[in-house]
Amino acid sequence: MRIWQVWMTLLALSVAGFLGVLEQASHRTPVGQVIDNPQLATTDGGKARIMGDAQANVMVFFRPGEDNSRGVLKDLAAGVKEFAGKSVRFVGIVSDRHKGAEVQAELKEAGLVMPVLVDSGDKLFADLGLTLMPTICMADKAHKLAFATPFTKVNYWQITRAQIRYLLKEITEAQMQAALNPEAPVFKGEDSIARRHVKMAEMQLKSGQADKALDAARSAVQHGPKLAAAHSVMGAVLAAKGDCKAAVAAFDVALALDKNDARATAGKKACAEKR
Amino acid sequence: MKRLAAITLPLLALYAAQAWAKPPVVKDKEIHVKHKTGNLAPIKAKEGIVSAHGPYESGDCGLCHTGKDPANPGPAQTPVNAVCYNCHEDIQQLIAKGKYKHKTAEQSCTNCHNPHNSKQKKLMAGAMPGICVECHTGIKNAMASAHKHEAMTSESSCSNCHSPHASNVEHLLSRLPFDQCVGCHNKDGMKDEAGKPLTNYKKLLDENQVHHAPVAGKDCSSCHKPHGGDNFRLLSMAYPPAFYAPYDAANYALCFSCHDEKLVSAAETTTLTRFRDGKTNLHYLHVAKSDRGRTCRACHEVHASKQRFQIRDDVPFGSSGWRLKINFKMNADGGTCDKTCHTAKSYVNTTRK
Repeated sequence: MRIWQVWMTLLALSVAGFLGVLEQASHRTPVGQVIDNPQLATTDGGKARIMGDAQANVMVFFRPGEDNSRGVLKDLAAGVKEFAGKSVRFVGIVSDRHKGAEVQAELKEAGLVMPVLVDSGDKLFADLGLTLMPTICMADKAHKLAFATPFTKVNYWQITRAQIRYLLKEITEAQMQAALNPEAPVFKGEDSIARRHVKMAEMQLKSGQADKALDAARSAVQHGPKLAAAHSVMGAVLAAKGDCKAAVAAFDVALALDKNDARATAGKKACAEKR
Repeated sequence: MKRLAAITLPLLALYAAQAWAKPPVVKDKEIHVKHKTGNLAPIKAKEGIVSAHGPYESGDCGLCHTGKDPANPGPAQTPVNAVCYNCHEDIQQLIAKGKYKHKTAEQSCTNCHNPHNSKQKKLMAGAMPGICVECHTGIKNAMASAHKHEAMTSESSCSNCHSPHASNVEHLLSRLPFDQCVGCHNKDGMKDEAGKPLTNYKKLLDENQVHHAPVAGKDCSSCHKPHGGDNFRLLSMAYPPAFYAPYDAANYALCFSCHDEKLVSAAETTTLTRFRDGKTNLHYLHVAKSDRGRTCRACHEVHASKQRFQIRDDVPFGSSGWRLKINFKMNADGGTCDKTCHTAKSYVNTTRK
């Protein structure tokens, strides 16, 4: 190895080391790291640890009297019921600047029952490197931090729910990601329009209006040239009009697009029997 | 005989006209209660038909009504949505699969659509946003606010952002707020209502990879009111628009809806911020001043930055558009700002683990 290559390697290593220091300096607890499990006072005068031996330890950092927190607590009230009986442990965590009665009143208003721990001097909040309230942290059974998700006004409970279900192994990571980034409703465009014309042709044919059904079938084929149903309904209309030769041609196109198109198969057979 | 005809014919014509004007009888009274925009009768050609329903145009009244006679089609088949879904199965599937459903759509398609024809696209019974805000009065009020969002009234109006039948995102949003917003705010040259240039957010976020948590969480609506609001830039709560401002927590309501107010107002802390020198809270030192307090924007980018904690690269200085570098450097125990608003100053966060 040449000298410059040695120097470059050493430089790269030192930069990487420095970045590691920065990461540490940021105080942000990396996902996957085991977090401390201190015992804290609870707002009802008892003591509890922030995590138990549940598969999903859900720690809800919130601020009583604040709108975003209030919304989260209301969503959680339904969520806690949904996960009742499962290996999920919910705890609230509030700063010691808030009075116990104030916190309990907030929970009561939300209809939520869960222990609330008091974070004296916001030490836990700082140790986890949190900056926003509300934030929901989750850790697995081994107390490894799995998620620390700050509040969002939209879909926050959906995110939380998917993360809990992932920790419970009810859904895969891909399914969780799908819940976190939901797909937009998809209209199949021309295909959808073609299907409407297919349906209309079917109904018109059923009501004995073969000429009108032919117009609808033509529209269906025009909008959905690769839609088997469009061609098979065209075949059905043509057969009803007595043009079995053209009908069979249409059925063949339908079957080429979808060999399981039942209408095309049946229509073709019926035409063959007529000959 | 002529006299009798002269009396009878106008009466007959009047009766026919009334019968035609009557909407098809729908059994569910509630539908008509909800359907405030107008009746369901077909509009006349002279009114300017923009969209027409295939079965109506082809005179196939019997596809939806109990009768086939165009002059007297009789009541509609019920339930209404089942009739519609005979053809519009894509909408049926969309509503069935959607996590969030528009109750009005679930109740009856004719709450929003005229099944015959319309002066609007897609057989809408009224123009958006009007037809939507008839029920969504809170949005109507927001639209009357001082600051408007052009997306509310341009192109597809409410449908620019919402999927009116059903969706997988709360509030019937078609996509997460960030995807919606950056879907439009992704080009240069956009201007606000006052003609001020608007940021190309795609470019900004691509070039600055440290994103503010709400941006990273794809939630523009954490800070913005997309329907209109009284704060500049459609901000949902107060946020100081200038570089300097006397400190008043109320002016930072937006920031403090997520960040702890003590982050700024506590003179000393060992937990609320890492921007401290020992126990001395440097946020307090910069911001909590009764005269020329530095506002959040003095040091932080609100959407994205190249440096951690959304620290800006530079700040505007003077009136000629000159930019003053902040020269912030973070190290293991704190950081330094150099040759900027002040000479080099370092802080040491001694309570770091």
